[in-house]
Amino acid sequence: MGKSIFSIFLILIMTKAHGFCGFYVSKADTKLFNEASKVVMVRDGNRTVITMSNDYKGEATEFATVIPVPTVLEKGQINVAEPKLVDHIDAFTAPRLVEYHDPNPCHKNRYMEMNTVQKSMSGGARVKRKGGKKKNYGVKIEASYTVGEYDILILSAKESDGLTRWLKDNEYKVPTQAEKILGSYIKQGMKFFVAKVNLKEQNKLGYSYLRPLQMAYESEKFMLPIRLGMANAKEKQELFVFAITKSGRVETVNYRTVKIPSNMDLPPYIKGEKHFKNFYKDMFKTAARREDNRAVFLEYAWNMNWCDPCAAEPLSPEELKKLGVFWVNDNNFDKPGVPSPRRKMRRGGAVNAYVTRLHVSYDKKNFPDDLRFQVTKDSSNYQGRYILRQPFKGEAKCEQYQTYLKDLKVRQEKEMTTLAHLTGWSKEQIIKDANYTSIKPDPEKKDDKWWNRVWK
Amino acid sequence: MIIPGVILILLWSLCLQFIFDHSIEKKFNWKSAFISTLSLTLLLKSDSMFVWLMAPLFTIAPKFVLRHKGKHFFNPTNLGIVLCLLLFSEFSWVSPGQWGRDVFFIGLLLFAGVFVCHKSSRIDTPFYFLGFHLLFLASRTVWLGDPFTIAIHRVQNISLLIFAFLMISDPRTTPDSKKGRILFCATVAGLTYYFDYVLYIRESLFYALALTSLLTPILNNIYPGSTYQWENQSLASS
Repeated sequence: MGKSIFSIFLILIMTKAHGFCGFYVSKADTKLFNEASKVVMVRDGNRTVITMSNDYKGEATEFATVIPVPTVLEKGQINVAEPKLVDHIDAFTAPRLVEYHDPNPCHKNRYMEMNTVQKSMSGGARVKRKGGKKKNYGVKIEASYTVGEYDILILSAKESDGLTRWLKDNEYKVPTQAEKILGSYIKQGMKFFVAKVNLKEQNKLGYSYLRPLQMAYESEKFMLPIRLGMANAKEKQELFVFAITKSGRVETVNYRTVKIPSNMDLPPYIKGEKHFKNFYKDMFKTAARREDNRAVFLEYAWNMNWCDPCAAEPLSPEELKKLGVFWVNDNNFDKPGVPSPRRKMRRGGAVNAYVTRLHVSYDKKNFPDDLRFQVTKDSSNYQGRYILRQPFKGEAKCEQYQTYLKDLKVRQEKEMTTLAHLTGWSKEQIIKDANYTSIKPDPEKKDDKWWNRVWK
Repeated sequence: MIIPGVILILLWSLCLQFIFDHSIEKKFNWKSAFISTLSLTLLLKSDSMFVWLMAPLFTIAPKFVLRHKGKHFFNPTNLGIVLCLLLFSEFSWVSPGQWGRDVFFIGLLLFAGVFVCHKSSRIDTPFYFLGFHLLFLASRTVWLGDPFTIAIHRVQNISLLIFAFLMISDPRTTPDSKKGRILFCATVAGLTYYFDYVLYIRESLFYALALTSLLTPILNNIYPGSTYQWENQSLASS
């Protein structure tokens, strides 16, 4: 089954519908979130550059997408980028683990930081110009380009039924519910960006995968049209937005933006690849549920010149430029800062760039409206960061060691409670997974009801 | 805004109100300053201490300076927010989505809003405004062919309710007659729609109210009515 992340806008497949896929942890191909889309949005004033990552794995002939855009785009406003750019910003902004090792309790400075470990959670057919037959669709092909491996049309329409007929006559599969939504976008003055794969160009370029599409435009509208993608979706869809501005955090104006839980001490066993993935997934689900599944989550908001700790190398000025950070020029780099072992400064100098990573799990019921954004004046730093403290495992013969063991037990209990609260996992399961031999599950939690012990 | 910060800002605004009241030899009207500043801290966002020092001044001072026939016509909180957004645009902003749409809070705010309005005997203003706002949104929904869930989602916004019940409901700055208030609310709702959906200005509510406030003296001339008084104070008090 082919997979694509263009689901947030609208995927209109030539012959059959496709599922959408994934967001992977860097070290494994295991699927973390189903139906995840990744979009990079660069915004300053009324200028926007959007990069839509595409991990479509189906037949290229069956790939097609229709995206509402605020203006008619010229050829120079459309580009094709390398997927690794989006992967890099994903890895750079991903929630991270920080690991500390307890020192020998017989020595002073027992909680001195020893080292830091980060785990990154990053982790068609050519258009048949039937419209050219001059049927009365009320659809106008405003422009037609071939960019990279894509054939692109910019359409404007007068009526949704005309546009729907045009799309259907051109062998797009349009969900019935989409017609009304298309009508709404037409009345709002939106144009339609239609892309398909040009196999000849793709063969010539030698790519076996589809690269992310980029578009640059000027519009007061700072939004992502998610309604079309929900037209025939039954399940929730995952979306990651990486917004880059000159200095301010980006938030949604029509949905609440909530910070993801962060800076918690957790049992060190979740360092394992599988456990960390499950932790992140369940922690996000639990946090979303606590907000009635109506919130957009802030997972990272940071000046892009540095990171602490770093989940990946900071993006180079060249990479930022390729992502559409149009204010980056070779002559405006400041002096690079001083790097430290875990804190990294950008290579090539400082630029005015601030990144916000937003994560939303949406469906039609709780997110009926498109996502509308604003750039705030808040430039404080925030990141999803989880702390693991490894107990001292060496030999120690001193009085303090006994105190340390007592404290350790209390600490482990607290870490377990935090993990259970964040993820909804049971303490029994955590004890089993963490292999805590010194901690026994609370008997009350088992079949033994409290009233059975009242009169005994 | 953290709670100790809110308390400090409230105290600062009460000081300002006291100084201004004292300067024109009027009774200290703490209630007016308290409500205005509470709304200010709920709606304005800034990380700058300087902004929080100036915002209460922008809220309180114009009540004593910008007057027509002995009566101020700008809503104090609204003018405070608008001046901060315009003068300190690099440091202040509003977050329309910050309160979400939790039903409990909607109920609570409705209750609080009705209470405040009832006490101030101008219970009608927020409902006129919300009525026109809904009417414009519903018309747009019908025109676009959108499901009503979108319009409902947009109205279930706590910032909108704070605006309606704690700001536009201010009896001192709305027209004195019922007809005047209906026209006033229709203009605010109309301008909000225009700013929101034509100009895409996210601070639409605040700019719409500030502009419409300029009409209050005119509306009072055309449709005269009795001026609202805070408790038993004189007509010209603030």
